[in-house]
Amino acid sequence: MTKNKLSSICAANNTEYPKIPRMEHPVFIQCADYELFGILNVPNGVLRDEKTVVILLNGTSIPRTHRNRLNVRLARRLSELGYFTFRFDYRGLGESTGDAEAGNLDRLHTQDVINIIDFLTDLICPRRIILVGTCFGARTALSVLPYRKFHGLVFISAPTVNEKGRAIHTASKRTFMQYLNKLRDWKKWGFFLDVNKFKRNLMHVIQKRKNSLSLLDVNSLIDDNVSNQLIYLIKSRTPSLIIYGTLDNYYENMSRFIKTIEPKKLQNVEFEVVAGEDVHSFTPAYVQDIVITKILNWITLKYSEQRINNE
Amino acid sequence: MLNEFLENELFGIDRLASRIDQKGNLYEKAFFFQHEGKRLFGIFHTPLNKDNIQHKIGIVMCQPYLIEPLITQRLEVDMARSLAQRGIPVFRFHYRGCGDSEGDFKDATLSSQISDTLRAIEVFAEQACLDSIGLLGIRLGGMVALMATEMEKRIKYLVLCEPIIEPKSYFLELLRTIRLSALANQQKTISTEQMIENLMSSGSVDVLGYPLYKEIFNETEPLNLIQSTTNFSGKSLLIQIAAFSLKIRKEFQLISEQIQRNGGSCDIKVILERKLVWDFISHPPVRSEKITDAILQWYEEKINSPSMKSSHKQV
Repeated sequence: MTKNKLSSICAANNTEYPKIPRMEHPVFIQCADYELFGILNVPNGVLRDEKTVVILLNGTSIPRTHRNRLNVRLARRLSELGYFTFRFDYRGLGESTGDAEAGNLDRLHTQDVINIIDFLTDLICPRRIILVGTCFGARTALSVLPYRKFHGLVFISAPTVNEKGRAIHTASKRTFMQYLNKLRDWKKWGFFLDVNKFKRNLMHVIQKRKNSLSLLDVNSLIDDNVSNQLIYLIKSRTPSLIIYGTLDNYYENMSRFIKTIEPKKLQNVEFEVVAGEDVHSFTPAYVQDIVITKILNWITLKYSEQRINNE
Repeated sequence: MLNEFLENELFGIDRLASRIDQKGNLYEKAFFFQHEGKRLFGIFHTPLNKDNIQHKIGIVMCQPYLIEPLITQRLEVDMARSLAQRGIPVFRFHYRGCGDSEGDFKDATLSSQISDTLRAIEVFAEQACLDSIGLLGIRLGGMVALMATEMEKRIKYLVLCEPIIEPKSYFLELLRTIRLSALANQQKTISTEQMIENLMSSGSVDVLGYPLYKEIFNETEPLNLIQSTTNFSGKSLLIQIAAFSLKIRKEFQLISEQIQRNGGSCDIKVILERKLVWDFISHPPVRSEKITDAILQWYEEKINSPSMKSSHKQV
């Protein structure tokens, strides 16, 4: 199959993708002192022998299905194209057991992903592992690189700062929305009794105002950890797709960071931008479809090309 | 269809679909079951040690709708695990077109959700050999649960957790949230009436990343939970979640009176839970021991009490 033909398949309407029957298997994975729950999609077709596994990682506190079943739809489409997929709940979320405390940007669930990669390696001996992460999940995926080898990364709308930076960065918009929403309904006024939370939010808004000028400095926009990991990713030549919407909180940060890297070093990195949209929240629903299409196109093109080259 | 690959390399994967928690006296098994050509996802929570089980009652959980499972997902799991540890098997499932089940979100109408619930009861009763069933419905799942009681005689118990009284008002509230969200994002806003017009003309409207279809909007428009409570005569618990007022809502009072008129019993518990305020914008997952405890306490008092045990034996 030529590259042009592949491109035309990818660009075609979603319904034109070849459909391969699939099976779904729920699994519990035993970890140190907790169990992770996930669903493995097993394709039943020609590309199955390639044994490429795509692991889907969510934002923190989002269950395995993601908003409007984004992960379920993506997993099933990938599976119909011949890829194994795995969607799961982080520890303490959904059906998974363990410490209920949600992860945050300073406390990524790296170990969960390492456990899943080890489990899938034992179970199906995959030839390739691709990680697809949104928000916190993208950061978690990136943090796995020093510990386990993977062959592709889709990095979607991830914060480029640490937890404190995120809180300040999103403070005013989120606070405004939350408070306005709760003010409308007297039954929700109990929320305001949480004085500490109110104080914390207010402090973040003040800090954001105070730091608004310094936030324009690229060095303060990218946390050292993130920039180091991104540089490590680029050096490792792992094929990567970075997706941001122009309205995302961290689009500017990532865009500036990418510009600081020499273009020849970015041969394996593609930076896709969804103009005029906020990809991070995955609202409205058509943004989800845009992202799904971008991921499917990239994976199909990238790994079908590799297969042709191998042949 | 199992192919050669599955037989050779993934043989035994089904064993991984269950877990045993010896310490917590819990066995869980996830699986897919067939209904009307779709594979629905279900998970079975049951006590490991069944010696203390006095009578065979099981609970089927009816999920909320649209964005709300993001808020209640962990609460549902906590409730199911706590109930199972106390000797009550629980079955949770996803409606067609929702969660991990097959189908399109458009397929998930109120009638399909009732049909899926009835099928889930069937699957559950077969697996756990149950005599009677209880339904635990959260939000719109409360309406599904109540309407399912009219079609399945084995349903003797009903727990409605902050049920939606009027689906139409609920959907309008969601549409207003979209306006607010757009306003906060400095995007163009349209009136709620305009949104309903769009819903009717285009068939769906986007609600915070979820499509709200006109089929379910039209189907639920004339419904009211109070009017739907015409036949149920079993034991029931209404859970009202409030931020700071302990006053029982009038609608809950009316539902309770109606069930009592039908010959059943209905208790109302008001739970102060500031965390659970149905915030559709930030939708944090909620865990609440208070809600789980209220259900367990009600179960112990009304179903598992010594007097109830003797009446069960007489039956």
